[in-house]
Amino acid sequence: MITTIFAGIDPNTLALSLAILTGGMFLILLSLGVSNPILLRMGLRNMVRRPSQTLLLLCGLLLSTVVTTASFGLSDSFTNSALTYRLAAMGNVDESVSGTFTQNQVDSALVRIQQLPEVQAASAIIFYAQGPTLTSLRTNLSIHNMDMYAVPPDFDRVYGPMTNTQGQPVHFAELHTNEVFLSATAAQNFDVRPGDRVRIDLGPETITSTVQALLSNNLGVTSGEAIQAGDFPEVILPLATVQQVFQQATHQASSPDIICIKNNGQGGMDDIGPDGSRSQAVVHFLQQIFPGASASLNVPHALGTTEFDTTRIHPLKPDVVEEQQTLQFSKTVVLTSIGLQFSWLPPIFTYMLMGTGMLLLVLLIILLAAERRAELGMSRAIGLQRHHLIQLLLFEGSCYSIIAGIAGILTGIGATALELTILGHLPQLAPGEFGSNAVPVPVIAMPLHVWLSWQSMLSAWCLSVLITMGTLLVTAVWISRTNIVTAIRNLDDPPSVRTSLLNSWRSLWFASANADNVLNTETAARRFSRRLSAIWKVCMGLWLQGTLCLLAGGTLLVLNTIQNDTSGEMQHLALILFIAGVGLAIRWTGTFSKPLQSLARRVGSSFIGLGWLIAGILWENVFLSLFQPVVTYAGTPSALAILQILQSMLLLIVGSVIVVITNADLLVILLTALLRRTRGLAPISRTSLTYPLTFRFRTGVAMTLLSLVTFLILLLVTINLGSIQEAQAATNSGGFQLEATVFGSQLSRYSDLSSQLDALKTHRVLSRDFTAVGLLRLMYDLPQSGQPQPIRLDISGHTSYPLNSPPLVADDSFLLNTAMPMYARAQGFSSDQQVWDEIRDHPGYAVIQYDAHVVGLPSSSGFAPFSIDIPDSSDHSAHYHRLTVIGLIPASASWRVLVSLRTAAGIVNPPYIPFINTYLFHLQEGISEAQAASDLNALLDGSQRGINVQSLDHASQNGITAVFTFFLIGDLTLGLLFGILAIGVIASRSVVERRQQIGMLRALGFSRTLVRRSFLLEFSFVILLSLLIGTTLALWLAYQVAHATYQNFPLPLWTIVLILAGSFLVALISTSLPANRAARLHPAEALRYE
Amino acid sequence: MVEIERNESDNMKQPAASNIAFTGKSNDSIIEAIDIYKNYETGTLNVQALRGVSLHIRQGEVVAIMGPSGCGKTTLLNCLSGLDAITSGIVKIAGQDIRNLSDRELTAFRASEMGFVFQSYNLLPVLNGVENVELPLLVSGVSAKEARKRAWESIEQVGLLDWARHRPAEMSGGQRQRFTIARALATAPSIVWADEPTGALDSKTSQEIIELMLRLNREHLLTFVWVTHALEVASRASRLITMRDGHIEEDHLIETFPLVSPTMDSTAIKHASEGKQI
Repeated sequence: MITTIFAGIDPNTLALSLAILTGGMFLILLSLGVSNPILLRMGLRNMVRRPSQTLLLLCGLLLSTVVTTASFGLSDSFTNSALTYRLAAMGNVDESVSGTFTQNQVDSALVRIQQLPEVQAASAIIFYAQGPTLTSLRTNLSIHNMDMYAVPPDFDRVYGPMTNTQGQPVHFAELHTNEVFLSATAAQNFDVRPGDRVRIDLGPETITSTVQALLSNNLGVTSGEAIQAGDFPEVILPLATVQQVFQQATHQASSPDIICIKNNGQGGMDDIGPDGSRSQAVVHFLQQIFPGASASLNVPHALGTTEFDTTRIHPLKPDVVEEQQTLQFSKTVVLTSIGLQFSWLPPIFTYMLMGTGMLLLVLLIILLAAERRAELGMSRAIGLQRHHLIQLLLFEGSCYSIIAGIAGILTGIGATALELTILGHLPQLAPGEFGSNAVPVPVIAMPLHVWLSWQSMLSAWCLSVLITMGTLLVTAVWISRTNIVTAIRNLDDPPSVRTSLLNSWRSLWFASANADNVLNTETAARRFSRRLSAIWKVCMGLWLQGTLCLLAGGTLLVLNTIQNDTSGEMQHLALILFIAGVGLAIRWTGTFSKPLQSLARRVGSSFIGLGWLIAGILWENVFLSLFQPVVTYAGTPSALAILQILQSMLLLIVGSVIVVITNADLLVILLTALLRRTRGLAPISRTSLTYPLTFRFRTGVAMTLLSLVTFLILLLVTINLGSIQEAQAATNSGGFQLEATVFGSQLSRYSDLSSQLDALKTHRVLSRDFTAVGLLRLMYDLPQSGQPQPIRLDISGHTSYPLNSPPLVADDSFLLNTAMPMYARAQGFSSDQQVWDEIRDHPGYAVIQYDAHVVGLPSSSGFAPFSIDIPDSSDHSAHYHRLTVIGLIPASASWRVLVSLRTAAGIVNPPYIPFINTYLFHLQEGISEAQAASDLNALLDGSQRGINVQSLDHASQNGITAVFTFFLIGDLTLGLLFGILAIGVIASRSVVERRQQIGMLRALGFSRTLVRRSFLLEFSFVILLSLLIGTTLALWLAYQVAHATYQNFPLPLWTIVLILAGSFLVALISTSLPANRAARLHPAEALRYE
Repeated sequence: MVEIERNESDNMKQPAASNIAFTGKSNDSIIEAIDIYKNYETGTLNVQALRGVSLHIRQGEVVAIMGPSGCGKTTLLNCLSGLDAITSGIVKIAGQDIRNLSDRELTAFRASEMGFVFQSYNLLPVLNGVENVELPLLVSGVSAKEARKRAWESIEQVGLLDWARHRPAEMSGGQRQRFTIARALATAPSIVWADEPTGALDSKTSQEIIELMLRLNREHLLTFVWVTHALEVASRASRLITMRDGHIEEDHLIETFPLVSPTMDSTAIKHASEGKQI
């Protein structure tokens, strides 16, 4: 998001700085307007001349503002939703003190605190983090690791009003013995109703209670819990009940560990007093009562659960309420590549959309200028200076930017609401759905609402206005240099005459000479403008020769050597410049020989395009890494990394567009020959296809916009839908549906557990539920610290294959029943099952995970089996044992190395450790996961013993992938609008520029239909080429990603067809309006037009 | 003394020695063009639009430039007025060598010293009559009050006070052209350039416009240079220059000139004005 640019800048400072800049700019414009009111009048009146053009322009500008506003809006909405959520969780508690206290200390502190004039009420509670397990006696399902609050009846005085999920008031005083409240998170994640009987396992004791109410929010009265509110389900019990249970179990009195305080006031933020003075006074007093207690909001300590080993004062409001640092990454979940995409793509898309918005603005302004060309020329002839024309365009543009800015803010709020609605559909991941490739993504556990602060609104508006005006200024300067004569007579601009570099250099120092070789005298202003023009020509000359690019590339390489930059980024940039330099040099050589000129241009431009395209493909493309389940980037997106990704993304597209646009004339020849045989298209075949190539830069820009957006949409759709399909094809789970993890400690604690598990494996029990039970165990123990010893390889110089956990040992049942597809099989194996059978039946074989970072690993089936050396422990002194790899599993799998029991027995004795035992279950036909899980839970007494049974269904992760993909594509749809508008604009400009030609064609006998068809054919050609570039690149790269990650390339064909057909149709509709305008032109009028 | 473009025509007398512009009174010249060339590069072709044209125009003259299409007459007007840059040669207006001026200086010079009248009116559609007329004054730094006063005076000169508050779209072709002339007059220029000033008008309106310009010439000694295809327009000028292939073919003074058919060629003009050459 755009807010990443301004990370670390205070919102007030940002808004005010931008407001001052914008205000200053408008003041300058206003003073210019006052000194030249007629120009101001002209600018204002120009706005309403062509309502349709104005509307188009406003739409373009509005889209830019929407992108900026939505970016701010999303960030603000997250923040404000969190604030609201935290405030609700805190209730009226303004400060709290946590620690280990005796009852006497608590009583004495409560008395002293309540005597303080700033304090209205105080109460003490017990908080027990991530402890109890709650089992519903109605459904037999359990929730582990709940947070528990034990509250006294007078807690209402401190916490304040509270409601249940129906919005009815709920009071702590009405919570009787053997009754509990459940928090909002518990109610959401657990099938529970008021009145349900539940069993609460408090560790030493178990109690049975009735659910009295489901609360509409969670509780969070310490800094850690308030910031992290919503992570863990909570159960709220009466304090007396809990104290009694602990007393019975431990024979010791259990005293409260949190003292909660409510200050005088109406509740909420009012309680902290003016500028927080009341809260400060209370905190100061608490420091006297609890000397040595920390009272600062130390963010790292504030995260997660509160530690009770030391006494800590929590000034909740406003410190915790306004703490924003942790909002973005509030939860760590495991996903495939979607986590990376969601963290990285929105800011990239925001920059890209703003860039395309600026490009569109340039096209629109040039269109306006093209329509008013004769007027601009005449204005210059009668004495308007260039700066007058610039002022004229700026006056007009400032009005557009103000209006579009205001409308864009309102639309942007709507767009934010839409984005939040999409994100609101994110499935909640239950705790435990984590895996090896953990990527932090913001999974929003709280209800979201739209919010945009005045600072953000002002910043978004000012940014939009400033960007618009900046772009407008550059464009206006360019337009102001228009040739007066050709503008007045509405002729084509003369081809620019290239002065030789030597002459340009000479004119930098000397005035022009007359026929007698005597230097002309000139005014100082003339001298200045001559030199300026000469400098420009020298630079352009050097640029066109390629020298400038080669020099810049060389400088970068030298800088790279001096700075010893190992990232390779500078080398990449240098190579990009070198390719451009060589290509330009080839083009330049054509200037020496007219016959070779066009060939040199084609070869030079194709060299640049192909060079960039190949470079973009061959380099390790950082953009593509966002689509692979390999963590390349983590944390907050940095500006430099975003630039790297943008560069790698644009290099591919721009390279392709250059190649296509340079050589499209060859395609045109072919198409023309074909179309000439088509009745109805024959008369327009040549003109329609040639026109777009007459203005290659303009066409190229529009094509780049459209193909870039098509590329991104198709890449996202193909890869993410592919990933969902793969997950559904059980790539990760190997076809098993349920997983139960049993720890060694549980096996030793519950003596009958082993026999129960054996009975399961041998189908003596629950055979109605399961067809097969596989077992995976670790070969040896995890290291005390750090990573396990890597495997030794000997391929292409790579000697190490890192491990994140010891190798897995699979039992025969797993190897017999797994459906995990191989990424690549060794030669001699015609099916995956043959590989698994070989692993099972013969010792000395292994399968390892494909890792794109280990260069040299086979990437396709039929490879020659290769040797690896596996360590027999995590120690540095481990011995190594040679095994042969006969299969590679996909990179999306969650483990690295797998061997059979027989193979492991040849390496270590015993062949596994019982530390973690992962049981995998194949369900019988027709048995539901819930039924099977319930039976398994009942058999193993899972709730009681803490055995976690999980579904291996990836529905929730797939749901997140789908929602995030939808969200990102929503962003890109705006880009598609930009692309389509750009095509519409160049179509409009074609009509404006070719009025006389259209008139002539009509006079020659072209019907209206033929004229319309001519324009539609022309732009169909441009649109199709753009879609073709985007699609080819996207599918090719998606294939690469799929090939590196999955077994198959699951192509979502119909989705792709639908997207392409939709894009084509919408783009064509945008060109049909100008085409109709052209068709409606009266021949005589069009011929007279100047 | 600079030699004039040599006339190669056999049946024409050599006008150079007696041309009014070259009678040693160059100090009176408001426009002085010496050996100007203008080349255009159009792709692979290099077109010489002007080939060594030399010309002097004095204050108060009404000069008509005629010639077939593509002979370079509009290019000559554009080069003389500084709208287009010359490839080589010298152009001086009111003694100022315009090649030595920067774009800014040249624009300011145009605003103060020149007026323009073109075929397609070229009034700015968003401004009403009086605003169009005062525009060049305002951008030259004249105060708003003074500009408005002078604009009204100019409009009065062209007799369109009642139409001053109307936008160009509401005016007839003749009215628009009168406003263009009023705009050209407003800055009290030394010279007014007119490229096909009656090209888009009917013959009656054309006559009125020509009469208007001639009246302004008489009353204010305003110099006019007309580029025209219309013989009836050219015949009202005090001097006629005919061009062919980028150079001046003939240069005549005209005292009286009968209206003749528009199809009449340059030979007819020559005969019609026989004896009036200088």
